[in-house]
Amino acid sequence: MVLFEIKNLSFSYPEAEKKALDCISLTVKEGELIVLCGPSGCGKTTLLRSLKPPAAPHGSRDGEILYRGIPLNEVPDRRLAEEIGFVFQNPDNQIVTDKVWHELSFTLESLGLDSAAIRRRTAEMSGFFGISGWFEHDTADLSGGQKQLLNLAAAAAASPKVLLLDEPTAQLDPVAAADFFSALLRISRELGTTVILSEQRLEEILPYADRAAVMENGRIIADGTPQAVGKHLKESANGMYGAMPSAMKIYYGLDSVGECPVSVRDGRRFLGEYLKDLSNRPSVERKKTEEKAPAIETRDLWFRYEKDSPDILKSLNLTVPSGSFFAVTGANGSGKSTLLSLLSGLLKPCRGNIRLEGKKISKYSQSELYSGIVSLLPQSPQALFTKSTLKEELEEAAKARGVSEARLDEIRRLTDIKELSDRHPYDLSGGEQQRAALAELLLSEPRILLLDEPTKGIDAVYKSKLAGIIKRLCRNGTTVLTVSHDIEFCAEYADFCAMLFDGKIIASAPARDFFAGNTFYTTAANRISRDYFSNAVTNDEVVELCRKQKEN
Amino acid sequence: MSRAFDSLHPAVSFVFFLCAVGFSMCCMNPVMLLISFISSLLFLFVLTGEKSLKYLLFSFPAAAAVAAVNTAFNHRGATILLYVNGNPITLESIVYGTASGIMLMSVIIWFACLNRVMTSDKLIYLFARVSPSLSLLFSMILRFVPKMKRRAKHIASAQKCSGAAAAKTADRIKNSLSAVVILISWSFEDAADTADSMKCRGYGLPGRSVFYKYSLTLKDVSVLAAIILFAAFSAAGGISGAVYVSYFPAYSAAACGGPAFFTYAAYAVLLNIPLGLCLTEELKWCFLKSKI
Amino acid sequence: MKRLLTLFTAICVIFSLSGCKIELPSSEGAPAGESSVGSCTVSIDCKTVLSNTELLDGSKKEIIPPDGIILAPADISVYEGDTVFDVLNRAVRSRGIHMEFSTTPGYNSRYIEGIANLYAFDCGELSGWVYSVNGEFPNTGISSVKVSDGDVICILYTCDLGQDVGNGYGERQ
Repeated sequence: MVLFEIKNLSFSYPEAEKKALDCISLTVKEGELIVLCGPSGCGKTTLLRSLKPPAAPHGSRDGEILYRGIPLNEVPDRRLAEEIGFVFQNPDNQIVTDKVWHELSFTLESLGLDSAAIRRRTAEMSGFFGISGWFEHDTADLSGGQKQLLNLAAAAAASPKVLLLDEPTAQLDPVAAADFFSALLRISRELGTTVILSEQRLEEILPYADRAAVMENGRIIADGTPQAVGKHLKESANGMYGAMPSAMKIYYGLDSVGECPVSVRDGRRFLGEYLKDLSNRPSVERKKTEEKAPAIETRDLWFRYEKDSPDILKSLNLTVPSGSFFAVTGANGSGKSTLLSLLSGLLKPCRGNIRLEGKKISKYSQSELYSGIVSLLPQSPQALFTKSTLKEELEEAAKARGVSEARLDEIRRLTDIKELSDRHPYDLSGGEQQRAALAELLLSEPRILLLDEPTKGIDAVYKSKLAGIIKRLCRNGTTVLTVSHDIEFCAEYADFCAMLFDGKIIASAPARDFFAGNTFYTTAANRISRDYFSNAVTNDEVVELCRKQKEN
Repeated sequence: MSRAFDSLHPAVSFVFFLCAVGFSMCCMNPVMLLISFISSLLFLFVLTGEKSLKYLLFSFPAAAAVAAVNTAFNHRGATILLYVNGNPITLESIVYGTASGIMLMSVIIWFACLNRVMTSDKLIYLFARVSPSLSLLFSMILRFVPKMKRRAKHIASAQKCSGAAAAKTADRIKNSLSAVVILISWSFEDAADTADSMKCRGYGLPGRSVFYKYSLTLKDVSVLAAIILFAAFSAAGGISGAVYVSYFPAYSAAACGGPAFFTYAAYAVLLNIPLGLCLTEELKWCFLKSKI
Repeated sequence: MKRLLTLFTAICVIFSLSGCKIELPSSEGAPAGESSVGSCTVSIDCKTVLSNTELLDGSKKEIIPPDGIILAPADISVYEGDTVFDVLNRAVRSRGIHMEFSTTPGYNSRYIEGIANLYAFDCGELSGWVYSVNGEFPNTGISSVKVSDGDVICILYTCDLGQDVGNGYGERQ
């Protein structure tokens, strides 16, 4: 049974010359799990929102959308609320009430169910999603992953026929994302709910999708099974190919036969077949990076927020070489953001000392510290923007710090934000906001740049752009320390990597060696190839080793 | 231990606190005041443990302060102790002041107990009975205020780290103002998302119901009946004048005798109902444990 | 806790330094170093209350002397520049009689609020304190009338705006 039928849908925002959606045609059958992918700004969000009228953007619309045979705008509001659920990207903003139980019952209250029915349904939901433990908690006390799970439960509470999700795991760490996906898959499989979601994290969800649709500039350029879509992207050399799962990229990197693998498991099977006659365990040779003098050094660092609260950092020792791109990874809540706050001088350690560029951090004055030694890029760059256009913002900041027009131009070029000058900072996409915030920070010429989760919610294209900027900064002598969950990003671009656990740094090594040494906390390429290659971490390394094998 | 009272229906706890605070404020009889003060302290101790001692220690300077203020303005009374600026400082006014101070402290401590017992859930439930949209609004305020507080802190530290913090006071004031601007615009942007989320979940459809989390049990009804009964006795005693004392011009210790004692007893029982519930619960547990 | 104590002591210090005059009840109230220029007779009574007991505020019943006399005519020394108020104050202070008065700052004029815990309006809406000097009711502030040697001052409580004690306010009109 066809649930949605979209015929030649076109949409443009008011006063925009370009169409946001351009003649989109898509059919969604009941029970399907469809993944929408595409670069930032391609129209995924616009398309998803158009499928739910209360969230639909204003503008001029052409073409039609049929929901179960009826035009979507003729479906009564009550039916829309009951049958179509929506989960947005930001876990925090969707939550309305202050208590978990109230949030769960919100939809049911709006639909007018009586107390007994609501109690029953919320009990069911809590059991199904495993929320029963925190039923009475305040929503403010939940972690990001829990919040998004709550949002999913709240959207599913009315037993909808279809769930629409707009990049639901963009703001979550990998573990929370995995939990979210497993809950989503349970809904899809066990309840038969149709799921349409847009995602950047294709590695985990694409293997389970029935269909994938790739969008670019408002059009659907590929639509079919994940394997078919991957093939199409590879053949047309599209940029989105870079977002495809590792297994697929390895497959296409070699002249392979047989079915294209999508999941890690399929990838391992494929590699097993390909390397049937492998006798030894080759490894990648990596050149030793020379270690320079440390730019950041901490010794015996202890910290806790209050006298009675547990220690967050316990005797932490960290050495960051100058001019390197250093990544600190660790589970959610392990203290990474606290470490950054300490390194940037926002918090004072309870014990131990921190040296920046050889000098103790307490010896620097406030103004000295922030105008030329260290800068911190926060997780939400919106916290920095005060003016209504980017141009004003940067010019004001440049004036305040005494930076010349020429240098400002140079920084603009470095961070690639020249075309964004007339836009309002809040209208920019995640990646653009980040680069703009980075530009503002670079005005102070910091020797040490601290980045807090820079790749959250950023698409593959911007990630590589960001990596390029960071590399250029490192070449010029800036030390960049980032705290990140994004294993693939760190493995690909970082020079050194360290893991934070139980308040200490427990491992610190050159990035690729670091991930090669882990069993779970490592890249998909590593997990696919670890039985055959001892330390291949990126797709390219795997492909190279395979090719070398075939040559022999 | 306090779960015995926490688990009661919100209406019952609300009525109790209404009586406790109301009666404490109306009666100046020193015996009644002492009963209220001691009961409130004991209950607070059961609810919060050691932190209640802070209130006890604070009571003495508070009562002294109120007494001092009272004597500065009230020069009535038959026993003159000294003259300040020509006007007499009388013993009666000091006593009255101290009594008022104790009354003030009892009311404060009752409110501290109320704060601990009436969680936001219960208040929202009580509101919902009156007006569902008001209770939803209350719930949303409880969500947004801490969120904005956290965000303001985040903005302040982000601004500090970006090198925007300036030395001159004028610039610092300008920075604080821009921080407020950021807070407001950011929160507005997020609020648009929240509004979408609400609309998507059917907010605005006619016939909105309310999820009532609490239901009246037999225990609730019996406790409520006890509260109302003893409140009625105390009120009767108060209104009939059995416990009337006057502080001016001279202190009259007229409130003795049968009806007065009866009122004192009823009042003491009324204010110690929650304490009694908690202790019985504790005893029951000890008894059950000893049987194992 | 420490903060509270320091705050308390600070308030006490401020209070004592603010120039409040603190005196014990025994003092005569005689101005230092001056000698008396004569004496006058001061009496205080509230006899009108006895004939208006139904209007009297319940809590005040016990403080009314059975004969209505709070101060029988007594000789009080008069000093240079004394007003009726100064003499009255000296009289009540030396005998431990309660009196409350208020001061208007700009004019330094006094108003008697109550004597012996009997205040205005305690015996009906028309009740209050009035005073006469040598049988005449000045009808001005008590601290604006100067006292000379030999004056007879009566402080009377009226329940009828003065009519029942001989100050026919109504009669004047």
